Amino acid sequence: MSSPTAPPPSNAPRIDAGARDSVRTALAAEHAANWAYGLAGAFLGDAANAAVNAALAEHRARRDTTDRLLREAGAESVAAQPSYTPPQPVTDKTSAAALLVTAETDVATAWRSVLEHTDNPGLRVMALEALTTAAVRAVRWRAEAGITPTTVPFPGAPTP
Amino acid sequence: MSPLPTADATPARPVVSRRALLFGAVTLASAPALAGCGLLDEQPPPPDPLEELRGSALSDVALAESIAQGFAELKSNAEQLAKDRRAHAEALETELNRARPSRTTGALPPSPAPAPRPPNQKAASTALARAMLAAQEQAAALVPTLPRHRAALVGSISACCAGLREVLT
Repeated sequence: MSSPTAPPPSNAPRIDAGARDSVRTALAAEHAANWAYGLAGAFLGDAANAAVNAALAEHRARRDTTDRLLREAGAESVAAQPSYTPPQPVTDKTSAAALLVTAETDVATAWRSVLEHTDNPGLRVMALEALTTAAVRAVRWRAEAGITPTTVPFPGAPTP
Repeated sequence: MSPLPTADATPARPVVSRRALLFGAVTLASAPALAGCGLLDEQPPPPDPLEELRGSALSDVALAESIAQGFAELKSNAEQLAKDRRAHAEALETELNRARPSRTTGALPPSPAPAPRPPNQKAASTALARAMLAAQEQAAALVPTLPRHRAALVGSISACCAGLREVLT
């Protein structure tokens, strides 16, 4: 005898039609961040290994979750690009850290935009967590790159 | 419109609460004494949830500025924190005024009294870190249910406070 299907938990992220584009942009930013950490990691030295590995693990996990959620919503997902070009050449620790600032800023911007394009509480929680961890990482990499101030007042907000 | 029942009408029974007769979630802690008919027009609207965020931001600015003056080794970080939290307070102020243009013509909610300066550098550093955690969580709690443009603003504020915690570490 089959039992009724339990309703999905109310806090599960749901990507409604209006949120799809912004979520796809966020997924694209996660792909780019994965690439950036792969490149930058080689230049940052052993002291940064733990931070780089943690960031990679988190971006990969979020990439996988976002991809799954898009598919579950019946939406097209986004694949990683075959190649990426850094905005500035990466040749040393400072330029590597600067690349990661850009990568995390792009991630922050994309997930903040998701906040504006959905009313789903579960998706909002997911987007906020992504925005928050990107902002925190950007602080660390700004410090590493010698960029001051190391914080911005509104992470992910479009710069005027 | 007939007058509402008053407390002296039937003292032996529970008073029909005037509260029960008002629709909506009126915050009676701040409601003026009920005067009679037409009072539904006189009730203040419920407080905007961003008021508390603004109050916290101003409080954090005051704490950080006090600490910057008192502890040379914390000055730089404390000033950075004050600058960001001041920006938060201003952005919240702008949004609060946009949402309720009459806000500026009435009495503004008072800013919380500034916390006393901590007694030593360690306590000061801890106070700043705690304040940023509290601010991060306070903002994060609102994000799931705010209107969209507010969700983005408040989300950024939460994320910034998390970043300031990183600065203080």
